This record gives sequence, structure tokens and C-alpha cells, in this order.
Amino acid sequence: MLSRKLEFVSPEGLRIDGRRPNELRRIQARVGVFMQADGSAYIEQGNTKILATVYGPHEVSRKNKPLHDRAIINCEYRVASFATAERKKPVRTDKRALDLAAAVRGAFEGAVMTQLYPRSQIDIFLQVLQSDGGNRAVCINAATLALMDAGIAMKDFVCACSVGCIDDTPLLDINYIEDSAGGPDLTVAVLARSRKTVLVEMDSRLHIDRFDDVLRLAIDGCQAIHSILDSAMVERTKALLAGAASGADADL
Amino acid sequence: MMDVEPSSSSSSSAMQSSSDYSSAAIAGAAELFIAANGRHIVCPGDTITTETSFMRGHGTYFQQQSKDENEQPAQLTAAYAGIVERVNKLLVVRPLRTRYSGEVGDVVVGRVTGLGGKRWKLDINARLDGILLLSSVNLPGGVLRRRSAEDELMMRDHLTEGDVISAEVQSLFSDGTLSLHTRSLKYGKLHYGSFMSVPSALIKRCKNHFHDLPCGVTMILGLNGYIWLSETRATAQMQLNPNDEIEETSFQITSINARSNIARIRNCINALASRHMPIYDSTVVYAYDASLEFDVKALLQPEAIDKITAHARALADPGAM
Amino acid sequence: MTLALSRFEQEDIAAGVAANLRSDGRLRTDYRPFTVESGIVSNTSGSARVRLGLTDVLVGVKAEIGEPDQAKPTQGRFEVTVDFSSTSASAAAFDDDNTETELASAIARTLKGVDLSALCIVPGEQCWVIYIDALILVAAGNAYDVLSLAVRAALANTRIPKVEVSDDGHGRVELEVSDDPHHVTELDIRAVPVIVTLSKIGAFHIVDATIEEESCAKSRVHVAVDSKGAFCMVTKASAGGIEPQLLFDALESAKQVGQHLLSQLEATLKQEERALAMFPNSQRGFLTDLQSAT
Repeated sequence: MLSRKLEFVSPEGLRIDGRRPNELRRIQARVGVFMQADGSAYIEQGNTKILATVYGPHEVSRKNKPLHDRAIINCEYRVASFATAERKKPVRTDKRALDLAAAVRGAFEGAVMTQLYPRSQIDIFLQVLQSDGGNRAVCINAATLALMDAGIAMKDFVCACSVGCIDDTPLLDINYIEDSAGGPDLTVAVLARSRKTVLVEMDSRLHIDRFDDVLRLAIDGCQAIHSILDSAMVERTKALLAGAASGADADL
Repeated sequence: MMDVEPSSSSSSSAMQSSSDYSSAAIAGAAELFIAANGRHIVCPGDTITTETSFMRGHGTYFQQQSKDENEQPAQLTAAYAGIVERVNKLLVVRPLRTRYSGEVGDVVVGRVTGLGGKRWKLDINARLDGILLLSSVNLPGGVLRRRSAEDELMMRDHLTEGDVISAEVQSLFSDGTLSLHTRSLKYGKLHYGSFMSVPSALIKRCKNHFHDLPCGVTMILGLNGYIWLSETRATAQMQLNPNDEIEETSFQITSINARSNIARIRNCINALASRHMPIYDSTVVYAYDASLEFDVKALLQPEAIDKITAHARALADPGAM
Repeated sequence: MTLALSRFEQEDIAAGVAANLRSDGRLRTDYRPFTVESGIVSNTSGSARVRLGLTDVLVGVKAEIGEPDQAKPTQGRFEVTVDFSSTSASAAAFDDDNTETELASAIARTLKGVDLSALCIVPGEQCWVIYIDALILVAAGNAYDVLSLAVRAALANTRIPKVEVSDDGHGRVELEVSDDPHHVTELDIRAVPVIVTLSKIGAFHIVDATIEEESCAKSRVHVAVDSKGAFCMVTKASAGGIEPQLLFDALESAKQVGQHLLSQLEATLKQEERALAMFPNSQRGFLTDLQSAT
């Protein structure tokens, strides 16, 4: 037991990548990646890199039946072959992918004002370019930005974060290695201002005593993520106002 | 303690000067982000104001912040990422990018995707396809022609899949579907010319959406973001003949000269769209003037796009956005 | 999926093509500007993203040790897969009605002429397998052309670690893969061709068709051209025949256009290299946006 703790959190309190238990990975976000999509966003959270694209609202696709009073949200999730350390060919009907897509859809059904778009469909497409843990949460964050970029009415930002727990220590925003330790992995998504949860998912067992700490840490993480997403969205709005939408970055 | 890195994305260059709307001084506003240029930028969930005297316009909603409803009044909250605009006491949040939704009287350009049941279905780049009822079109040959056109084959004679039309929004169905009409002589089927698409948010409502540009190109700016470019013709497409019946005139394919100018205008419009600039007859003309130093196809290059859009922006009215 | 145009639009486009003045002013043989970014996916041996018009393709290359093709025991080998990203799956997406396997086979065929003997580790037993995974982020026509450009750029960006082969004296072979980032081999990509797609409208062929032009095209030819001008592959797709003389003319112009494309790609990659040398920490990839026209 002791040796495992040393492995993931050093005696000085540092994790494998040098973070403290309540530290998020470095997050960088960009809104508006694809010109012709209604909305799009790209997020790097540590080494997890995800693209989100939104189309709609538009006419309901043939395989779906329109709802008379609100929009349908359709979500798809795919992982690139080169996204994982070991190359893995993506399978179209992968159960995990379908599961994740359903979770994301559920989270946004609580936040998007679908009643403003009856008889139509909103598509959220998620593409993982690099996978290093926390995919579910990063997908939700990227989708929030993409939906806003598409000018789709939402109550608030949906911010998500994952927390693991190794040897009674809650760890915020676990990466792939930490996730492989086999401990519980909680993903939480909240509406930023009200802190109401729209998604709570947990893999593996977590003792009820620990749950409160873990959940609090996750919600705190979501709050921090909110300010990052908010900045990215404001940057995008400023850039559009200034007509710099597709201009070269000032960095180069 | 949370230790996070701030995000970084695109940087912004020169800001626009303040708009007609007095967005900066909204009384009772809390936690607002005010951009340096006086524009009031908000994101979903942001409180716009706690003053109860303001009316809720498009893009806003009321949210209870505290659990006790009696303690604090509901706050007017933004539902889009965009800018707050105020007309007297009405507050509205306008997203800078969004799907076309349409209002009665809008001029649109659409493409027929299907027909049947005395109506045509059109792609108008909106949330839902538009509808053009048979009773809403002018058919050549007058009243007699219309009755026999109820047959699908005869309808297809008039407008078939793939055809492009200009039309006006007549009414809205309850689910938001737009019902169009082409009852004025200036609307109807479009023949030889070039179709293009830009984000609908860049096209603003004006008195006139049909422009005969100085270079011999006629431009129809559909509020839905669909644009039609064609060679300016001396005669109208549909006319009244001596018997007061509507008649279609014959059409000629675009001449070589006009073809080059149409391509130039097309590239200018795409340049404006790529820099998220509003598309009016004036901005198009400014861009066109600046484009003359380049070959038409050179306007596809980023350097040329930068130059002509910078020129157009410098000349465009402040607060045009 | 093709866009339905009115017959007037189709006639107008055909007239423009015949007059060598297309709807955006291009000649029949002009490509639109394209952007290339290489090395933007970490976790790969090489990568590149190419954007042409609205089409957007990302290619990741991973080198892994595996078994050689028994027919070519002293060579490494390629494995190509093409996937349409979920981001490309929209009502507005237009692919060329080409399935992922067709595209992958086409790319694989064009790579047959590349010499991979440098990638042999133990003849007949171990070699480097170069996995080329192409992700079509936005499908808006010209899939073949953009794919080939991205694959070539990604391969140019690929670095394969050097391997030390030692014999323990009992016939057992040990491989030691160097993890020194400077102890690497580059691939010789001179024989990697670019694919030029020619679409026939009326009596003429055009390259880099827009979505509208593509829907007017009666047939299509894909020609793989390498820097020497040699043809590696010709495929005629979809309905409509081509008169032999026209086909010959098309191939001639494909050769010229293709070589021009290759030199443009070379120039862009060199420019990128220079920029990286000057600003090694600049933000790249999806976090930034190279200037691109619509």
C-alpha cells in the first residue's frame, strides 16, 4: 500500500508529472477551428487533445424523428488511430464510444435551450487527436465552446472535470497513467454559475466517506475550468469583432 | 488552491470604435465584461443586469441566483456568447455567429430541394427548410396557367430541384418554418449566374438587397447568407406583356467580360466573409476597388485578402458591425 | 453526395471552364492556395495537416517494428488507413463518394515505388512498419489530392529511431532501439507522388474542382505524379467516357500541375522549417490558425 502511494504521490506531495493533488493540467483552448462548421473548438488539457464540431440547428436527419417541441441533440465520438501511445484502429460501433457520446448528449440536454429549436437537430461531433486521460471531461468542455461558437442558446457553460482517488488521496484531473492505477475515476460536469451537476459518472468503487471530498474537488476543478473557457470565448468574440477571425496569429 | 494556466488563443488586433447603442452604461450591471472599445461582451450565464426595469429581449433569460426567491430579484442573464445591445429599455444579446432564423419581409435566396402537394421545399440555410406555396408564386401566363400547374409535372416545369430563386419571407409557421413568396416581379427563378454562401450573420437588413454594382454585376444579398451574382441585364426577367399577363423574357449566358467581374466580386465577398466583416453593397465596392491591383485569382491568396479587407474596414462606417 | 445545381448554373460553369475562367478566376490548371503544417501531433513519428479549399486532412505516422512482406524481405513496409472524422460527418459534408478503403488503397498504390530498404532491420524477419493513418477532418472534395499532399508532408516529417541489431552468439537476435531523438533516420520521400484529380466538364479537364464544379463533372481521373514527372497510377472513376486524345491531354497537364504542386509543397515545408528555427516556441497546430482563404 505504502509503495503504491509513493508511486503516484511523492512524500513531498507531487504527482508523477509534478502536479499537486488539486492541480489541473495546463489547458489551452481555441474557439473557431473550422470555418464552415456552425461552431468548433479545440482543447489541449495536458496531453489530451480534442476537437469538437457543432452543426445546426438544422433539419432532422433521415434516421431520426423530429420532436415537435424541441431540438434533438446528436452526438458522435471518435478516437484517431494515432491518439493513443499504442496505435489502435478505431471501431465504428465501439461500445465505449457510444457510451461516452450518450453521456455528453445527456449533459447538454440540460444546458442547451432546445425548446427554442423545435423539429430540428443539433450535432455535436467529438474527435480525439491525442488521448491521455480525462477524455470525457475535455470533450464536454470543447463541446461547450463549440456550441457557443455556433450561436446556440445555452443557459450557461457546461464545465467538466475528472477526479481520481488513489490511496485515499483525491487527485484532480487524472492522466492516463494515474487512471490505469485502477482506482475510482469520477467525471463531473456542472452548469458553471449554479454549480448544478448535469453529469456525474464514476468508474470503479469509491467509499462513501470519500465521495464528498472527491465531488467537492471536482466541482472546484470545474469552476477553475470555467474561467479558462470563458476567457477563450471572450477572446473569440473580440477577434470576430475586430475581423481577425482567420488572420495569422501574432505569435509568429 | 487552484493553479491553472490561462488559456491562449487568437489575439485581437485593432478594435472597432463604439457602436450606436449605449452598451457600456447599463445601470445595475454586475460582473460584466466590457471590452476596451465599449462593446459589452457576454457569454451564456453572465448576468447582464439586476435592474428590474429592463425588458427581456432575444438572447436573454431570467435566472434566480439565490435559493430564496423573495430575497433577490431574478437577474437578466445572457444565453449566447455575443454582445449586448440596448434599444431603450429592451436588452438583447446578439451572437456574432448563428443560423439564420428569418423575419417577415426578409429577402432570401434559396435552392429548391423538393416539391409536391402544391408547394416547393427550399434549402435556405436556416434551421428548417423554407416553403414556397404554389399560391405564392407568379406564374407566366396568368391565372389559367396556375390552375393547370397544380399537377406536379407542371410545377416542375416552373421550378424543379436545384433551381435557385430569390424570394421574400411572407410568414412564419408555428414551428419557425419560413413561408416564402415571389409575388413581386423582382423575385423568382434565377438563371445564369453564380451562387455563393456566407455566414448569414454578416448580412444586415437594409432597404434594398438587390444591387447593380458599378462593374456591371448584379448582386442579390440574401439575409440567409445565400448570395447570387449575375451580369446586370437591361431588361427585367419577368415583364407584363400588352395583355397584362406575366411573361418570362429570354436569357443569355454570362458574357466573358462580366464573367471576370463576377469572379472578382465573388472573391471579394469571400475575403470579407473570411475576416468576419459585414457584407453590404458599400463594403463589397470598397473591397472591389482595392482588389483592382490584383489578378482575379490572386485574390485567393491571404496577402491580397488582408489588403482588400483592411481597405474596406478603413472606409466602412464605424459601428457598422 | 453531390450538390444539385440548376441547369443554368451548370451551363454557366461549363462555359467558364471552356473560357478558361472559372468562377473564382482560376485557370483550368490552377490549384487554390493550400496550407501545410507538419509535426503538430505529438505521440507520432511524423505528422502533417493540409488544408485546400474547405477540405482538411490530418495524417499521423507511427513507426513500429514488425514483420516484412514475404515478397519483399529486405524492405520495410507501409500500412495505410483512411478515416472520416466525426467532424466531417455533417449534412454539408461532401466526399467524392469514395469510401475509406478506396482512398487508402489508392494512397498505398502510389507508395509502391518508394524504396524502403533502409527500414529493414533483420532481413526476412524484422523491419519497420510505417503506419500511415489519415484523418479526414473536413470532406469538401479533392480527397485524393489533399490526402496525397498530407501523406507526403507527414512522411517528410517522419523520423525513425536507429536500431542496433546484435547477435548473442546463439542465433538469437536482440534489437536495441535508440531513444536519442537525434539518432534517427529520415525517409527518402523523393518517390512519394502527389495525386492530381482531373474532373471533366464539357470537353475540358480542370484540377482542384470546387464542390459546385464537382457536381457538374461527368468523370474524374486521378493521376499520381512524382518529382520526375513519371506517372505512378491512373484511375478513371465514375460514369462518362473520355476520348483517348482528351485523356492524353489530361495526363500531360496532370504531369505539369503535379510537378508544380510538389515544388510548392517543398517550398512551403522549407519555409515552415525556417520559421520554426526562428521561433521554436511558437504556438502551432490547432491552437493557432495559419492564414487561409475560405
